[in-house]
Amino acid sequence: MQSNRSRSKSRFSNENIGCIWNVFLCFSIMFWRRMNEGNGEGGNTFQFPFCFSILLVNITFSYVLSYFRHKEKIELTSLLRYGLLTSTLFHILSVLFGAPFLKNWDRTISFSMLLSALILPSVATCAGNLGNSLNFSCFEWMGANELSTCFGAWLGAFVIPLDWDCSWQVWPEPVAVGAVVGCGLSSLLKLIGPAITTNSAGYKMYWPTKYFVHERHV
Amino acid sequence: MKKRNLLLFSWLILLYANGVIYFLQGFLLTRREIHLKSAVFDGVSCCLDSKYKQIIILIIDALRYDFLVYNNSTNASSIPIYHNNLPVVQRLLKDNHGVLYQFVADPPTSTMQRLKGITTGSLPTFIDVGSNFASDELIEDNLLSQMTSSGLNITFIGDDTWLQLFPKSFQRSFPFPSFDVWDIHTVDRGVEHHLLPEMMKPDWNLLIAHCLGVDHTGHRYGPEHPVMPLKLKEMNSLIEKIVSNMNSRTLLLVMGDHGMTRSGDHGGDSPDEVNAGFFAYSPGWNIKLNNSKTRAISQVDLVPTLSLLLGIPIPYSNLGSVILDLVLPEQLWREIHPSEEHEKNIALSYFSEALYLNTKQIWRYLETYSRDSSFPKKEFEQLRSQFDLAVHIFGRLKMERCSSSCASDLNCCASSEMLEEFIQTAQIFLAEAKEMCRSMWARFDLTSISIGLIIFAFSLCLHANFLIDSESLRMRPVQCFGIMGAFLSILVQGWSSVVSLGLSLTPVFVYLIGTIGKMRLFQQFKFAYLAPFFMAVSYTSNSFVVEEPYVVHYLTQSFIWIPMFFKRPTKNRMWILRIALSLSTRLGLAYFRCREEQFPACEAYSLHRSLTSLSGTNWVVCGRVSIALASCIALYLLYKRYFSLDRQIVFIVMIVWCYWILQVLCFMNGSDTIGLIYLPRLFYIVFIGKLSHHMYTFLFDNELSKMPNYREKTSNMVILLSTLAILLAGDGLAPGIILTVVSLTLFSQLFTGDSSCGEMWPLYGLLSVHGFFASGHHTSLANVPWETAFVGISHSDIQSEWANVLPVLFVSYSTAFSMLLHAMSVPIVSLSEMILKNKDSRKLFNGWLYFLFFHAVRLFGCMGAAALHRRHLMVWKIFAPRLLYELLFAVYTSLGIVASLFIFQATM
Repeated sequence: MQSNRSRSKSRFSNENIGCIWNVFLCFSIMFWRRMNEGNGEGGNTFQFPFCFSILLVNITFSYVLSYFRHKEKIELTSLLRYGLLTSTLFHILSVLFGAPFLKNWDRTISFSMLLSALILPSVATCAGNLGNSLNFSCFEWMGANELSTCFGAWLGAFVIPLDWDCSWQVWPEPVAVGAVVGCGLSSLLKLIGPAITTNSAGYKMYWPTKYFVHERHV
Repeated sequence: MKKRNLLLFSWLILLYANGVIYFLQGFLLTRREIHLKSAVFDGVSCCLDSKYKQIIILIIDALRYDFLVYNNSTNASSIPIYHNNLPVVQRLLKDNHGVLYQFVADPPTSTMQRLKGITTGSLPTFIDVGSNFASDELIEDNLLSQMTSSGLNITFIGDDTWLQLFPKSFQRSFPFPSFDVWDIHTVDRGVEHHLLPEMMKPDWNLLIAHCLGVDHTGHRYGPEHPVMPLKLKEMNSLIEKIVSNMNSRTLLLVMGDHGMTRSGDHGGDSPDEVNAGFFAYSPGWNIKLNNSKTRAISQVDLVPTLSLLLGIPIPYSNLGSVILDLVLPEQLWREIHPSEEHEKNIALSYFSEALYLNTKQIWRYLETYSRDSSFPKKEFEQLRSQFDLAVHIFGRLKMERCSSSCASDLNCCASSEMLEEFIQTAQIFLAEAKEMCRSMWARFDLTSISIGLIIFAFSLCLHANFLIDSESLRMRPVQCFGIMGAFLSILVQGWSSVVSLGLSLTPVFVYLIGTIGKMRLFQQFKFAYLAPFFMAVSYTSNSFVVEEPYVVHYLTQSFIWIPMFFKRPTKNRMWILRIALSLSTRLGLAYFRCREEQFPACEAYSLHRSLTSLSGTNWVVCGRVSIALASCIALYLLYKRYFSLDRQIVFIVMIVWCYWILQVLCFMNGSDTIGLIYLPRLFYIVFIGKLSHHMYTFLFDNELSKMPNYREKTSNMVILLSTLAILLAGDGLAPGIILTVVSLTLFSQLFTGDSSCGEMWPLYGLLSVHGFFASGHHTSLANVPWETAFVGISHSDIQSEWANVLPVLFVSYSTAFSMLLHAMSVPIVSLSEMILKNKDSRKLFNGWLYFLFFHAVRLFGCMGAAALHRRHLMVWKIFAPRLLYELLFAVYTSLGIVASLFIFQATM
């Protein structure tokens, strides 16, 4: 019989605000994409301006959040530097994974910016000063968010070679959608996970035990 | 200890071979092409007088039978929109000017195969032995070649598939591209534009027009889309135009080469795909045929009919029988259907004449064919007696005719009963002959296919058992029996499937049952064992096969990087090695080749072309040379750092370089020197000498002092083997191959001393497949590297029988060298230290076992996909070539494993 006492934290910890923001952002990206599909632009949602603005929005969000919530706020320059660094890293990674090197380089750049934008809130809410002092209480969530974003993108690539001749089967589109869905899902799970697995007494119960143990700790 | 490994591997390989042989027997039904031609004076198939001066064949691709038939249902809403769109056909039928048939195609119902059927009269199979892989040109005797040799002229308009099949047969041709399935108009517009002017010209005897619009509309929209009636109406107006410009000595044949399914596709054997429409019309006709039953003719029947109508010999390998209604003497067409005794006799004696020619031609073909490859004995004997009977009756007919007064005339007076008897006999013979050939060629042998798959599947279980249960020392006798059983089972293929199944699988079952209890399944199981299964599953999708280079590259990169998410290495060296490995794999992407299906999305770089075929500036040449040099130097440095490189390899590489430089110089001067032949030969001699030297040091030079060198010796052997591939591939692809060896070296450094990694062996298998693609290959028949066959062999050498062995060896080696290399270098990868210890054999053994498993599972996936999609549109274009390549990989993998196993045991 294992049950952990859940962390005594306010419902509006940085972590949770980050999660809410992520869910909101991912949902609105998907919504935006859906709206554009009707206009016949289906394949080209993730253009350079779009991804760049998402990156800027997330940098602003992280800055504002840290300004209000953190004891030591994050410098704007370090956020920008971080965004540039991770974009370059993701760009190199996607070229290594087979993205075209010269052709469509703008798409690769916008994709890598989107990816770095997606993982920025989680890192910013966890890291005090971006790597200088990590807040280890939410390190787990940061890793999970990074991981599921990348995993979503990884899975998204598998529809590109299929011969369905859909307009959205062009290079960054399904991969970007996969990343957005992965990021949103992991944040959503983080938000509603405790609500499902924690009972009224504040014990975290994982799903198998929930059905076997009743009111023992109440 | 020693013998056990050999025993195991030979059992597994024999079992796999057994399964594959069974599978192929069922799947690749082969027909031998006979390249004899019928001639006018060969005593068998000379001809009737030509009936029509001009024949127009209008092929409307995918014209289904019910598109032509008039649907007179009163309930208008129940009529599908694709019905009743060809009113001209109804009009002509009503006026008794035409006949309508159901034109039954033999699967596979793809256009290329159908055109072969319509022109040669034979039933197609995948591998027509003797055909030329490099081009699609039809070599077998066919209608068009018979026409050209009789001096008749053919004009062709439409689908350019015809031009691939018959590049030299047409006096005038107007081909249009057929590849873009979404383009529904180009070909039809072209046909419309050229058809009438060509018809007006006096100099043609056969005019072939091939429209693709209906087929492409079906592929794009399906038959029930409103575009379909529009397209059919377009065809209607085309036919109308042709009909209004015909004279009475012209015959028009409108036909579909196959039908389409409800979704608009074709390729399989469903009734919708097989039943095409056939409509014949001539302005001179006035006939009333009995239309009570649907009249079906086979597509091959067109060949003898047309040849008799044109007055040319029936093509040698035809299997069709004459369509009697169409060869009716002309004067009878003009009148009402013969009712009087005399006219009936005229018709019947004409029919028997035609059938006699047809019968004799088919029997000659069957006899020639059976001389080298056997038919089922019982059926063949039955056919022979039927043929003898027909000949006998015909002889009696002739006797009677000779005795009567009108011997030389067609209007002769053999009794109609006898004529009818002959016609019946001949028709039975023709039908039986076709049926026998069809049962041999056009059908997959499903029992044989499934036996092959079953044997293979259980061998995989056994293999997995060996992998999981690393203490597989058990039950030596069972293993010995297993080897004997599998071997016997290969030998007794012909007997019965039950015997061979029992022989090969009983020891497997015994072994599995005997060991399953002692196995620690869950402790030993690793995720790595599942990795090849994902690839195997992907082979069931044609797009994943087409895009396989990129899929493999993606998976390789994933296996390099994803583990980094879970365990972060502490050593910087690991990071650097991983980055370098990833980079060298990515660079290999530049040497990927595109296949036909990938255009236009895929952009092939010009990198894999040879320097002599480049038309670029000096900069391009300089760039290419520097790439080649850089890759060579990189490999040299790497090898020098990690292994002790054998210096003599430099000499061999110098020969290769000299050869290339000479090639470029000769190309620039436009001359041809003897050095182009002798430099590669010098290379071969040095290569063989060096190889045997390596073998010698492995086998006999294993004193204790030499022992530490086992890993290095192997590495030198590998690099020696790679030089042969480099020479064969030419200067363009050389960097791609070098990159493969670089990746191999980096990989071996990455995992030294850490062979417990789960991702190690799957990554290794993936790298071997990646090496295949990175050396400029793709799994389509069009990308077989034929140019490698004649490196160092002059064309005058290929007279003798044995000379074919070397080209085959070269082509297969340059295709699958990556598998051989990777199988041979398992010791480099799995041994960390230079000194060979006794416990190392365990590691080595597991490496080999997994490598074989990886390729076997993929082969199984390919076999399964080919069997599953045996009626798929793309089976002969995508799945079957993939299977053949995978087979080649399997052969080279087992070759490499067995060779290095021998070397290892000799060294121990």
